[in-house]
Amino acid sequence: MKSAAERAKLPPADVPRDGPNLTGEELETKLSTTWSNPPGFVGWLSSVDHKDIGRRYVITALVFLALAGVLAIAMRLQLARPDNDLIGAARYNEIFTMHGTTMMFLFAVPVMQGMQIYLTPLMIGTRSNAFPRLNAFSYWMYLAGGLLLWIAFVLNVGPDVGWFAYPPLSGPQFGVGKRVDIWAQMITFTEVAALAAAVSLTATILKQKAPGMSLARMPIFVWATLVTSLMVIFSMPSVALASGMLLSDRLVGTHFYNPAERGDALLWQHLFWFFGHPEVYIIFLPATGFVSEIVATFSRRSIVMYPIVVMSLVATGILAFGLWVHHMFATGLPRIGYSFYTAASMSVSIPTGLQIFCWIATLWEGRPQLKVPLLYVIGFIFTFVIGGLTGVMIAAVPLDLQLHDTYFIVAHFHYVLIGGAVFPLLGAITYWFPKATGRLMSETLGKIAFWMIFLGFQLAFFPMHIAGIYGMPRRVYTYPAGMGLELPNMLSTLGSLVVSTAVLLFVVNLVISARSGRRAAPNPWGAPSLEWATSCPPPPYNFPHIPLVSSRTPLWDAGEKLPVVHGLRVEDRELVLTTVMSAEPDVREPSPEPSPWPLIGTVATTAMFVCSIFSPWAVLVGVVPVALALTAWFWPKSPRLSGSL
Amino acid sequence: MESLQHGPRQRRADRSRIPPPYPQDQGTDLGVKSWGPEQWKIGGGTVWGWLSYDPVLKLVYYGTSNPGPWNAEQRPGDNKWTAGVFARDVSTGQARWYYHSTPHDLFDHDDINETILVDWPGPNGQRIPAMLRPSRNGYFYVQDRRNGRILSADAYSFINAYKGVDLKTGRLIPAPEKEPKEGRVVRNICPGPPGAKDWNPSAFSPVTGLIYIPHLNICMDMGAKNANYIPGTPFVGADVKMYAGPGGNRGVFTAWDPVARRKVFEIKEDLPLWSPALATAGGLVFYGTMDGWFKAIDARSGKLLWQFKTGSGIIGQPISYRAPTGDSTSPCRRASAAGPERSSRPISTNAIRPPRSASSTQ
Amino acid sequence: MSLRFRNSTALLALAAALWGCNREERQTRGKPLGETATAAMPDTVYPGTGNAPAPDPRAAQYEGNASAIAQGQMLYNQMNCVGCHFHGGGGMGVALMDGKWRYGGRIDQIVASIDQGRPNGMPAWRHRLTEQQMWQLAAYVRTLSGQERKDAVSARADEVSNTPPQTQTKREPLMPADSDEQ
Repeated sequence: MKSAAERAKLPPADVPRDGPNLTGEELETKLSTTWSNPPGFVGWLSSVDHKDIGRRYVITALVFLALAGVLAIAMRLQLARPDNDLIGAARYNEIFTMHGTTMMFLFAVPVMQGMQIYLTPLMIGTRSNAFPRLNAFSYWMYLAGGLLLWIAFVLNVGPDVGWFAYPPLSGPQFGVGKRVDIWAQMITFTEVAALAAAVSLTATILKQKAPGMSLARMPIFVWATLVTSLMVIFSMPSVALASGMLLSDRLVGTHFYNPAERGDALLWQHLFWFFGHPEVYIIFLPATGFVSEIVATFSRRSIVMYPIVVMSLVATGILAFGLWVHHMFATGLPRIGYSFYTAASMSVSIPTGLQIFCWIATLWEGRPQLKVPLLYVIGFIFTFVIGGLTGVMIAAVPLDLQLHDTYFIVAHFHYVLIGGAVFPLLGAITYWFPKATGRLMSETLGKIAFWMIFLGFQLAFFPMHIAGIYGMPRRVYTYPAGMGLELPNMLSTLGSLVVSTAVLLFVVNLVISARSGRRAAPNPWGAPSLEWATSCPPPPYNFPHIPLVSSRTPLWDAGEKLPVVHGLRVEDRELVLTTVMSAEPDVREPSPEPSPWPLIGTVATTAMFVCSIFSPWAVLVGVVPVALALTAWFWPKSPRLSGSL
Repeated sequence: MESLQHGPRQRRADRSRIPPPYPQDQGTDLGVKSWGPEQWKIGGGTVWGWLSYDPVLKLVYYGTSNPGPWNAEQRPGDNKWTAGVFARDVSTGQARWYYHSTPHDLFDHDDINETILVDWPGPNGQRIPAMLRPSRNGYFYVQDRRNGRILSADAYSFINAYKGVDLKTGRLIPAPEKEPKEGRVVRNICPGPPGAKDWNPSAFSPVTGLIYIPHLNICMDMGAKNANYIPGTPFVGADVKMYAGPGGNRGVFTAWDPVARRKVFEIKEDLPLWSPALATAGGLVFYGTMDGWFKAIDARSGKLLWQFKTGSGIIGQPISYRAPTGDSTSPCRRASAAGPERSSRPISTNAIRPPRSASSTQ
Repeated sequence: MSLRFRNSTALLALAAALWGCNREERQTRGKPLGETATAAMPDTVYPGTGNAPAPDPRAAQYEGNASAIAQGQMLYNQMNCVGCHFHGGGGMGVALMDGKWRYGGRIDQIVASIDQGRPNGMPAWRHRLTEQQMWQLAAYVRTLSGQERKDAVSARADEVSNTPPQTQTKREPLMPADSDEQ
């Protein structure tokens, strides 16, 4: 094995490589040519650039957020008054199912994965992520799944059995028609997409970190991405299995969920929640990653007790797999099991609490600047802690038996999801907006939007705790007068209107700032991590030279110029792979060119999945085009690289 | 139409005493008390099977059918006087005794099967007037027909729904794990609803002393559900899946020695046997299968001597008679399943021996 | 064909396949029995292959409608149809999963049989079921012989399984009424 000194020698001069002889504008031109997409619409569709894919993910997810938000407003308008008849029962069932499904499967996980896909290569100092075509395939599959669900909804075939579709309601006897099949198949799409993205991210983080960026020097957001991606890989197959078995029951009459023929309706609940509980941490942990980055930047010091924060992330990720039965406390399982899951559910708040204390300590020890991202972080801490406290309450079985399936639960999970994921997300979008677009979002509009969202959220969701304690069940399209539910519901409706206005304001801010916001310097916030080392927005190749990292806060410790390594080809796409633990340079690896095959593969897979909703033969017939597309995708290219590697 | 097999005493034209042999059958108004409120009015318990008559004791014996609905959770209690045997005085109709073969029947095990009246060798050499009953619930009952007391009750078929008959109390002992419950499917219950033997009567041969029982080897999975009582429609409340029992054959023809209380020989048949049996003095036993084979077997060994393929499955009773032609053969006729007699001439072959007195009871 | 055009036609085809049409329409509950004057069913039995009466206009609403079929399946169990007709195999009642329909196998003919009763034991359900329920039952009964679209039937009930999955049931050809078969 070559020593670091040997490897730092001048690169072989057989092909153009970046180095002291090839740098500056000449280097950037060559790299731009190599790493840009082909021109035209086909080139745009064939892009494998992680920044394009991440951006597409985030924008598509925000569109789905808006659609699901409109459905939420519809629900709140219906529930504003007792015995209201704005929306009928059947349509209301479809609306809350679509709201939950869209928010969980089409917004929350994809937006976090999109941010991860965009930011991770930039943060670890590499030119692309691993398996870029798989990444592109992941986005197209996500889009296909989302379109399947929403086109079905528009055509009156939308699902109406709740976002977690328990059998026997979702089974063949009571879930009539094809609505549930469409929901279950959408799960397959989004699960494949999430798995593909998670695999790509895990490989990127483990193998493509910049030289010197050992695991102990990675930004906390990258740690969060790693833990989240591993959680996705372990949990998504469970829900894919469950939905596949449901499709099989409904299409060909298997008995997986039929207790009369040795199946079990509870099997669905176990399989779904084995995925479903880690899912909420898959949504939450990247948000904690956002918070760590924002707190470090705006406190102008690195995170206090980095190892504790990292260990908390890992502990949360592992513990999250041991909690799922707390969604099933009302099903009559053995009591000793309940005790275990109560203890586990309460204990998972400990690592998160540790993280919160570390952030507070960082703010305390630092010199905070109350810019909009930090405001969102403070809003997050306040709101998420309330949600976490109600979570610990309902982790206790006796209380959960009273509150299960009431609006108390609705309040709880909106507090932890909006407080714990959406607030950091909005802060993160504000924070990284200049990196992605080269312009800063308006601080004034941002502050107004923040306060409206924060206060509107409290107005909208706090009264739901009261409504739940008064006994208002979930998923009801109306309620009778005289039960004390009118006031909480009216307040919630008003709050939701404030929140939706605020979100609209945020979007307006986004759009206006993208067009005509203040131009941003490469590092407008004075942040320490590597993504701020390149221009705003980053060029297709991310970095002209791969950075060399020697601390957790490279930009703060760099001084005038960031140390870099040399030797990557400039006329072919090439990356440097490093070892997992200590990030010593290992091999140089070619990176794939843009390709239309991920999209074509998606079309073939979509045809197979959608037709299999109607006939089991589609699986056999549809495998052929998928196999053809995959064959074309993986067809070996002629060796482009010559010379020593 | 209301059955008279339960209900208040007045309906049954009782005098004050019925001397039932066992304590659980003693009491007043049991036909009402052993049901939920008013349930006896829709409780089933008809008489659709065979009657036997003893001219000496002047008693008529018959069995009653199962209670309704099949879903037993809807009718708590013993459900008298269903699934049991009555002995009634032929001139007054008064019940002399009653034996409840299957209290609180769970599986449609009625008791309408034939009762064969025989003189039974008692323990001290005396002759006891007895009755032999291969019952639906799988037990071969030998009872004193004067008072209904059980002399023996042995399983002549594979049973896992019951553990046995307690001879002291006369009560059938159910297997609790086989009790159907609403919303649950209980698997592998033997015998199934047609019973170990359905209505098709067996035959007794005084020559060999054996009972020839054509019966079933059917087990079931049963899912009980709440039944709605709609007059004019079946009142059942059960989803039942039936299949062959151990061995894979659905029918079996058993020769049973009632004194030795054991099976002498058996013939396995693929299809369930719903044809009655006929035993002749010439040492032959006749029965038919569901795919139309009319068979004659040797009464002592069970060896198949002769068979003939008829036009349809056989559930009619074979009878033997002496034809008016003076022919010394004994023609044998059988009715096949699909309706009126198709063949108008007797079937006889040289292999059938001249008749002696055929003393099967029907 | 450019990729964009190909994608949009694919999307339209997808949309057409997904379109609920009649399958997904939900029916609200019909009026209760007392308020429904059951109109006399027109005579739906006709000899041989002669002129068939025009199909009832309600047929289109119930045929192939998933929720009507599901309701019919529940009514089939609750009204004790299972007791005579079992799960289509027949017993005391005729088999409903074959192609033999003595009084006709069109949906309105089946409704007439339910409504009027038939010889040899079929009760008359007029004044005991609403019209909507009879049509729902008839829609379900038609699925037993595979007459309805496979995407509208449910593959199995949440009960003991007695038949192959209904989504795999072969469609029996409907025969004209057999007048010479006893």
